[in-house]
Amino acid sequence: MSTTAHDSRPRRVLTIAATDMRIRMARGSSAVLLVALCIFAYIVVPDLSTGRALMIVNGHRALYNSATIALATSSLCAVLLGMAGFYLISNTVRRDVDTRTGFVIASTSVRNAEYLSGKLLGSMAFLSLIVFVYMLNVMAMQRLRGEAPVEPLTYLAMFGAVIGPVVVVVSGLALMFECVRPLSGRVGDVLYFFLGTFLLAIPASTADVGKPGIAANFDVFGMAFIINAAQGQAASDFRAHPEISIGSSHFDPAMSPWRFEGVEWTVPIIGARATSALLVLPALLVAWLAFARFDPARIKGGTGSARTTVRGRVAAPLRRALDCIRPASWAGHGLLRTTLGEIALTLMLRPIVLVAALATCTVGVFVSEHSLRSMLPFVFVMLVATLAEIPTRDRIARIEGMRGGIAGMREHSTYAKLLGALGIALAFLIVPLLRLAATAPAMSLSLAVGAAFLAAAAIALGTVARTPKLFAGVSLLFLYVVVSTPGAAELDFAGWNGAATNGVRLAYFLAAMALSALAVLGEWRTARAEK
Amino acid sequence: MTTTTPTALALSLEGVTKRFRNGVVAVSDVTLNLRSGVLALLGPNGAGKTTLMQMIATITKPTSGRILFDGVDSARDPDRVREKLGYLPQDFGVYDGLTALQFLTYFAALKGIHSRAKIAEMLELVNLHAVADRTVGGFSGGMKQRLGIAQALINDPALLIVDEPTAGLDPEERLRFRNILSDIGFERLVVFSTHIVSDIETIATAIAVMKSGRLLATAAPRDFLQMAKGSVWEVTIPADRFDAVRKQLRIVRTARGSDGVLARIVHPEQPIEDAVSVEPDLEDAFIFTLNYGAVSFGSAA
Repeated sequence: MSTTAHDSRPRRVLTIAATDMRIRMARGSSAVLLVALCIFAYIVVPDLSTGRALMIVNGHRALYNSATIALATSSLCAVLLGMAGFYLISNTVRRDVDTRTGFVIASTSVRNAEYLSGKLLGSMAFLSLIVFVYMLNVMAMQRLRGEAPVEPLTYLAMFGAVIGPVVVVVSGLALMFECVRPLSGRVGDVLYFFLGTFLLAIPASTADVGKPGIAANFDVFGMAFIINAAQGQAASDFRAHPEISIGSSHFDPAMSPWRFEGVEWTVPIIGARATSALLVLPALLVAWLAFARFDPARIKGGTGSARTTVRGRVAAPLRRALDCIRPASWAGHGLLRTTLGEIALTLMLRPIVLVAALATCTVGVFVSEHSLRSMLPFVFVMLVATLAEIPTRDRIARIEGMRGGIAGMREHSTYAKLLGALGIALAFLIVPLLRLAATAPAMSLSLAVGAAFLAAAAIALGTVARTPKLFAGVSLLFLYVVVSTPGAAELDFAGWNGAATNGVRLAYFLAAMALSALAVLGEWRTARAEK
Repeated sequence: MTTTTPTALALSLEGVTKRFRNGVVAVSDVTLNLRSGVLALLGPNGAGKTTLMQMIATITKPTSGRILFDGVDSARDPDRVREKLGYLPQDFGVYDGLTALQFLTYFAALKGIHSRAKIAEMLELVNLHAVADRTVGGFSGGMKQRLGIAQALINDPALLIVDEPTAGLDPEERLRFRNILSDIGFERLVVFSTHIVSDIETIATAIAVMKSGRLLATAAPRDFLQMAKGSVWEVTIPADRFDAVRKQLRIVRTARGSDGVLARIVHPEQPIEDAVSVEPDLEDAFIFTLNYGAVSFGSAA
């Protein structure tokens, strides 16, 4: 039975979405993610007997009813999904390029709009499923630890209002980043991090009690909405500017619990949330205009595409300059030469890395120590972009087998990648390390431990997940949390905030060792599966 | 195989050129007219075969020239061409997490086909019906390739384009694949590329040889052989002279014997005294065309 193309268009969109969803769900990492959500829900709604509560207003813990738990957990989910969700779904078009099934799709009468709509729906469905599973787990936690009956409609309304726009906009942005060639790689990953931070911070910083203002219409992550919702009642119950904390915090058991009654769903509130989701429209328009329909002349890495991009034009003279130090000859037998080979390969593939490292070192020599510490987060963001592809580039280039066939290569491979990643991290950080060693040795030690932790995380997550996206997403989110909470010693993994203790340094060093072991184990598993 | 028999339609390439943005000319001024049958595109790596096929498959547009299928300009109205098209790209991959049935159902749906019977028929045609519910991530290269041909055939295309379909297949699978293409070529137009000459001996109704983006020759196989007649030689060369001769002449095959090396040489004139003219095969004709011939036999097929 064959139907006309016109009749089957909506069906084709749904088929593309359903298949996308099916492919994602077939991955082992999806199961891991869903289990992680259960654990996260367990942690995020603390047991009151531990002296911690999910939401605290002026020292009073909020009563564990559906309104409180839905508001607080949806806000945490919005931050997580907004920052990390992008990295979970931003490979949907690339997958069709890598498998070359995109060429087949391009040769069918599927319209660009149909294909992109299907991909958008697939991403939205996947993120929605994650949110739904998380919400169910949170509801289960309320059954376990709550102080009022579970109200499913309260959860659905709150999660829909807070997370709905996040799901829509993040899916649209991910599609746009994939379709716009300069944004479809590591540069896009890093740029999204800054865009996500902007979307998260700006509406929240402009929110005021009872005055959502124009920023509410751009409040994709719902931060202004949540602040207004919580402060609206708290302000009338306490004083004009109550102190509200969301997330597991200590409370004073002597103070009576505060009861949050929930959000009054008015037309302006619903309208503002709906409007914020409409930000997806310009992103979709850009995606549609930029979509290359797998034309090899236009896609990244396609025939004839080299040197035609700005980055390609910049890289060409850098490569020629790099040839002066003959990096291709650094590789050889033994762990040291294999490690040097990994570093050389990074420089040859991305000559801009050498420029960035040299620029960082040069700036680091001349700026004040305060400025030096301020620039460290940016250096780490550059490192994330640089290190993310090291564990996966052989697989993506399909040369794993070729490398494995070289004597001594396979047994050194993961160790060389770990040491190579550490070497690159240290090349970026050598000046800050030396300067801080003279004035603040503990901070210098923290920085070295932080570099090792990041390098090990890059190789471990890339080896296990077999994609650079997981490391990019998780690490950028982690960096955001570290920068946002300068007082938290346990998060000061690289000593930027000056809060790290010896215990924290030891813990991150051990975590780096554990991640290194995970990388070795992951590689061993892959090798065993191939036998 | 129970399929609707599509009418044989004409494919015309008129001065087709593809120049990439980096200045590389992948295909240069190719003109070709084809009807039903199997056209084998032969050429060394980098000859422009894949780019030419991608243009015919409407994936990338010609920089200049036109491609007409059934009178429809593929650049102006690609959807009308796509409805009659089946395409199997080079190095075809799969979505590892899907079963063969799910994978084929997906591509069938994209082509507007929702018949389960048709999907089952295609799986049977490519001999994957027994493993229809297995995830394709565990398939061998040949099984994936057969799945690829099934998706290309699912809409009963009038024009089937397959790019190096036999690369990486074992001899039995290559034979099966050749038979499938041969059967299809009776009723419709099949364009397939290869650099394995033995693939085309039994099934091609026309051969086009490409080199450096240019079409060097188009001919029916027997004309192609005729072209190389008188240009293929065999001679036994003493072992101590063989290296010197090999540097000067195009030797296509050798066999070592007690009295020296029996060499098969492609050359327009007798290359060495005592060399004997022999009947060319397709491989000889291909080497001759690549090195000495730029001959057009006009419209093929």
